[in-house]
Amino acid sequence: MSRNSSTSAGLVAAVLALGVGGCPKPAPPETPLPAALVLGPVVKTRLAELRAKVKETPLPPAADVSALIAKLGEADPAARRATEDALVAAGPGAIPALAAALADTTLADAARGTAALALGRLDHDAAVAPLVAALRDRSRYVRAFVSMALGTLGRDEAVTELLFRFKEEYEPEGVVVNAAAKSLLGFGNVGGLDRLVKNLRARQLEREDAIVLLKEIVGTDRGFDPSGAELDRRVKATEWEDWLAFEAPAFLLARPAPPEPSDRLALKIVETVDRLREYQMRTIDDARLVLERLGVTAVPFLRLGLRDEEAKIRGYALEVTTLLGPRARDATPEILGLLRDEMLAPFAYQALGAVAAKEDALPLLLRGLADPRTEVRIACAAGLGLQGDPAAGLEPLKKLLASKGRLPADLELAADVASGALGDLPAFGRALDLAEASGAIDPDVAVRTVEDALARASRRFGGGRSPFRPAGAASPGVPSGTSHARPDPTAAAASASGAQNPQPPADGVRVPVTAGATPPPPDRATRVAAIRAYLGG
Amino acid sequence: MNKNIRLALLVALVLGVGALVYALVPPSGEEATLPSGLSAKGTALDVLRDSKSCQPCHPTIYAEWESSWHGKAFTEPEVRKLSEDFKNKDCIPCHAPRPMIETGLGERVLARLDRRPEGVDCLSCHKGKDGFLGAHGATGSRAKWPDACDPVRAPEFVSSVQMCFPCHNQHKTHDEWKASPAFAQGKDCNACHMPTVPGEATIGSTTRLEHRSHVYFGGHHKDYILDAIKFDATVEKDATGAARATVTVRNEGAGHNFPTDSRNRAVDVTWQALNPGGIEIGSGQGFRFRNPYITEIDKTNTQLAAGETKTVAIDLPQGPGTAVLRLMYRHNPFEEDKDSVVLYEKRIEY
Repeated sequence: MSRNSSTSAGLVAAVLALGVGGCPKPAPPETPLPAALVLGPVVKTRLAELRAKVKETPLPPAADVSALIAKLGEADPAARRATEDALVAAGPGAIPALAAALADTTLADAARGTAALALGRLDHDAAVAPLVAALRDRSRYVRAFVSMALGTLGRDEAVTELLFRFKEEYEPEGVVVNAAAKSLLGFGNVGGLDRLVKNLRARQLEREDAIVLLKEIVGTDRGFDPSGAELDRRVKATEWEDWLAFEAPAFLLARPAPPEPSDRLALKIVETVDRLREYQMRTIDDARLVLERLGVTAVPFLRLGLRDEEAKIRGYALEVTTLLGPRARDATPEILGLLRDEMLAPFAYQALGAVAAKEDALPLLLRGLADPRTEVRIACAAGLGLQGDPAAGLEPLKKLLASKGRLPADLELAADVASGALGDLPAFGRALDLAEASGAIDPDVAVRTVEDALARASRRFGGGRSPFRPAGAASPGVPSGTSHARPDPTAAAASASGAQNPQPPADGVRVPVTAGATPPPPDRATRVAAIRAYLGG
Repeated sequence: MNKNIRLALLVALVLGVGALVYALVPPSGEEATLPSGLSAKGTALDVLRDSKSCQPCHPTIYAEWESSWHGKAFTEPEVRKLSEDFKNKDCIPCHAPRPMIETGLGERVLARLDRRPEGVDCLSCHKGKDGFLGAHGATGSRAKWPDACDPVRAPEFVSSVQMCFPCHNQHKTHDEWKASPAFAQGKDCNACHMPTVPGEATIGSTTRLEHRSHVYFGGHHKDYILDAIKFDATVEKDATGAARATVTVRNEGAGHNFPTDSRNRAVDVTWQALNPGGIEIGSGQGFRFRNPYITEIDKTNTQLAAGETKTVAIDLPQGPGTAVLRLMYRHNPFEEDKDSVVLYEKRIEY
């Protein structure tokens, strides 16, 4: 302690101790922390149970369909369709030959696509594996046909792999995305909403497909005409993007629960949860994306993950529950139990704010604001913002901010942003002041955080449409900017030039278009000025 | 006056006077150099909560770390650009990690929620469950400052490659090292990247006058790369007068592929041909050393493995002229020449 500060502290202590005010007030009653969770190898145990239950489906005995297979590549689409019908009529015995044709990269895309469609119509479990394997084919056209075929086949074990398309597809047309989203809808999953909305800005055929699917999911096309004038389309696409950013979370919360997953899908989901223990970030990110897009279907399995003895699984499962928000409310008991988890407590508090009901979350978040650990206090401040209850959250945050100057800067920033999120819009201005003045906060990240929170808050409290777009708009229900899809300029360029698919497209398949160049974002000063101008107005 | 109230006032008076006396007694010179609060009650884990609090006793190491890419892991413009200001949250765990000992040596790290601009901070590697981990223990300072942070002697932790690979093997560097001659020779990460340098690790230390550098020499230090990577170029003409340059690049000293790291780093062999008037008559890229990102399925890994040599042939425009052959280090594959580092340049008249 420095000499000056120790002197001041001593004097203050002396004055306080000598007492000017009579008896001390009783301490406010404190909400006790819930008991810690009992952890165990629950994911591995469940995995073993399901693996014992789910047997691999062997391929049926092969039938001699070589003559039909040779016709798969015929140029005439009607002839191909006739071949497809004949192969379906041949029954499951055709599956081995069709699987081989689908995997044969020397065949034309049209031939392989026809093989995929025939596999989809054979209504046999053995068709799932070859189709799922071909979802990662180099040809986007094959991937599109396979995505459609999996929907026709109707085995829900393909759901996790279909969802993965929303991460992996860099193709600019959106053909595979539309096909995957359509098949997923058949399984009751709407995890590709954001990609469908994105396709409203794609070419006409993809726009048409996307709006049909969106109308089926949401019940309205919101006036979007895929053949309309470009300006009208842009305006309507922006409205859809706003809907996605601001209204989709409530829409998803109100949606009826999808059907119970089969054992085979349950096994796939538990395998996905188990991958959260992996080392490579890429693997974890893939798993996290699938779990998030599974939505409420994933929650019982995430609860298993939250009870697992492996901290990585608990940590990433907490992250996914936070992203799911109130849709993961069934996981509240596990989240409460993890507040005592020494390593993961900050993540648990954040999840509590995002997921739990007011009566469960608020007392503990308020208690956490006084925690000696800065990370916990940051998480609790953020959690109060996520809870979205101004009456309960603003006053405690105000009290916390009364110690302004003595708080760690990142805690002060979190409290300002949370206050803004709860309707105290000028707090965003204070957050910007702090970011500019404090060397302990990264100003670029702070501006992005403010933009994100301000977009939501201005929508709710500002009385009009905000000029800002939340960073998480790409993924419904995501409270803060996450980026699952990592567009790679090199890959995009390769995709746009057709480098991944040198073969000519099959008839009826759309020709690639060049990906539009994204303009560089405005610099920080411009963005800060825009925020200040908005707040000033 | 109630007896209890009188008793309470007496206790308050004693405490108050005590606090006043404590505040007015001048601290000793030695205590004044300790991190704030360390001489008060509480363990080092309670008090040393950021990197700055390590600085008073370890100023040299702090300065090295602060200048290093570990110290700038969250703020450095290149990573900001590639991660879109960390909008890609997957980058945060390694660029602002929680203490490795908490998350487990050799395990994936988790992101910190606070102090992110400190990047890979002191606590990331040195904070243990029961105290601070050091390679040597505080034998010199413990006698002088009984309340010092008292690091636990744990060289097996702080020198372990398992401290490095949770992050660096995300881009496969650890796997490359295990396949290299350096691994066979028992050379670990610290052998090259944290050499022993002169200077006391702790102020006032009389026993340790050298320390492991916390600059973390690597791809941002040109001289360091030049020690490991060798380059040569020749130009020959055939009977028809056609000129061909032959460039050789050898990974002589790196204990992993060159350039290590997937996606981001790239090293190009470039050429430029000038006519006798100095006007450019041709230019191009002869070869790119790079491990492509996982999504770039149409590209192959062209890194230069440890101990290997790559020879590149380049057909030059008709002479006479001067060939300018360069080895360019790019911090990302899209980096322009003006921002890249010229590792080597050789001019040959032909």
